[in-house]
Parts: sequence; C-alpha cells; structure tokens
Amino acid sequence: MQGVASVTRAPFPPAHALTASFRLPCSRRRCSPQTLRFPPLEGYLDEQFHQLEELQDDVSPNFVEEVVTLFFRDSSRLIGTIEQALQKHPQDFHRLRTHVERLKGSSCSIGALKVKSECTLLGEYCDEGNMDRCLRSFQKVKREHAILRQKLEAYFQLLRQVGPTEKASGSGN
Amino acid sequence: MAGIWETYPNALSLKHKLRALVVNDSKFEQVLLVAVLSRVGVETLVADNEKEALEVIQEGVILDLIIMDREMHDLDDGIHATRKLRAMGVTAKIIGISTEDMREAELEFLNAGADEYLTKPVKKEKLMSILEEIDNKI
Repeated sequence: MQGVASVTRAPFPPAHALTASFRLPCSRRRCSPQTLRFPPLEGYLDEQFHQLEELQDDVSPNFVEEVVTLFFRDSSRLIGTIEQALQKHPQDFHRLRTHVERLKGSSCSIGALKVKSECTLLGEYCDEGNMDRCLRSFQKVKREHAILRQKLEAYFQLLRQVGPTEKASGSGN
Repeated sequence: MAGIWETYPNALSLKHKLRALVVNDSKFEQVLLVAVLSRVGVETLVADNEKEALEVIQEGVILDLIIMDREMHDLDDGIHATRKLRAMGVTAKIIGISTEDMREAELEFLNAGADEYLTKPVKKEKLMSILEEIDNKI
C-alpha cells in the first residue's frame, strides 16, 4: 500500500481467529496474574499490567516481555527528551508538559503506577511554571522508572529460570 | 469455546471484517492496541502521526474505526488530526484517547469530531463494546 507509512501486521505472531479450534493456554484459566506471585512488583504495577498478561498466550509466548521492552525503549527516550527540555532557557513549560503527558500515557498503558503518579505531579508543576519543583519531581520520575525497570528485569529473569507456568490437565476448549 | 470466555471474557465474534487505524507516536502503545484489536480479527493499521494518518485516507483506505492519541509530537496533535480527518469527509468512528480525565479534554476532542473519548489506559472491554457497536451498525 504505497504511501502508507506503517501498514502493520502485529509484530508478534498474528492473532488467531476465534474459532472452535482456538485454544487458550490452560495456565491462563482461573489463574491469578503471574505478577501477583512476585512480591517485589507489588505497588508498582496495577491492573493494566494484568491485562497485558492476558494477551500473552501460546501464539505470543513472550508478548509481555516484548511489550515491556518496547515500553522502556519509548519511555527512556521520552525521559531523555524531558531532561533536555528542562535544560532549556527560557523554559517552554507547554512543550515540557507535552513530553510529560506522553510519558504518563505510556505509563498508564503499561500499568506503571508510581511512574504515572510522579508524572502527574510533574505535569502539575509544569502547569504552575515552577522550575525548581519540576526539576525535583523529574528526579523522582527517573528514579521510579529505573526501579520499575530493575524489578521487571528481575521478574522476567525469574520467569526464564522457572520456565513455563504449570498447565492445567485435561483442558477443555 | 467456553474456555475463551473464562479468560478473555470480552472476546467477541464480529460478523464483519473491520479495519482500524491506530494513530499514536508511541510504538509501545501501537503494539498494545494492535494486539487487542487483532485478537478479535480486526485488521489494524498504524500511523505515527497526523501526516501518516492522512496518507492512509488519501490512499483510499476505508476505515471503520480510528483510535487517535491526543498527545503526539504536540499536545493537541490528535485533536488537530481529528478535525482534519472530518474535514476530509472521513466517517469512521473516531475514538480520542488521552491521559486527561477532564471534561474539558473530552469536549475538545468531541468538538473536533471524535465520537468518543477514552482516558488511558484503554480498557479492552470498552474497545470490544465499541467494535460490537460498529459491527452491528453495518
């Protein structure tokens, strides 16, 4: 399709049609989200992350990790952009706010609770035009972002060590 | 099929093949939305910005749904793009999405021509109900 910048197919294995032969991985039935079994993540991720886990299945077995990798790629770039924007004089708080909202949006979409909260505060300080508070708040955003990255890296490392979750036996379809 | 409903309670069977466009400059958010939509068989295109979205339309692609992010390169990029698409005669359902949970933000999008406004994170249940509504109207 000429001219269309990004005609996409999903970057992961294509979605399966919901036909009678479609099977969901048994481990996904009536199971608590995997992250609930990893206490270090408690308080850092909300229900939205669990929704991501629901999108992972036998066809896209690494979906969550791949999406998380994308999130950190995007968000790290945004943090760099915010950092550069904060160094500008005179400060363009409106532009800064745009970058913060973009970071907040991604954080919402992955369920990154604390990053989202800190972005909300940073956005408010942008609206106030308070540079000192923006700078302090931005440090907190960076810190929470780094902490979340560490925790998720540890989580995925553990998952790789543990292997696939147990499958229920005699799974119906 | 009972198992599907247990773990993906809003899985639905669409009667028609729908086509959606996700307009969002975040690759991560694009992938998420594509994953949700493609799970129910919606053919999904992505555009990184207003320009690419307009190119899709100019190519003659018929869309049933456009999911438009508000904050792209500039804060109101999505609103501007929505206005442009409507001015071009696009009749697809446009859903504006943003982090702003304020009536003012919603009104801005609706006044630009969006049909609905959702705050992030976009719940798949809500997307499913929108798809169902579109599907039923065809």
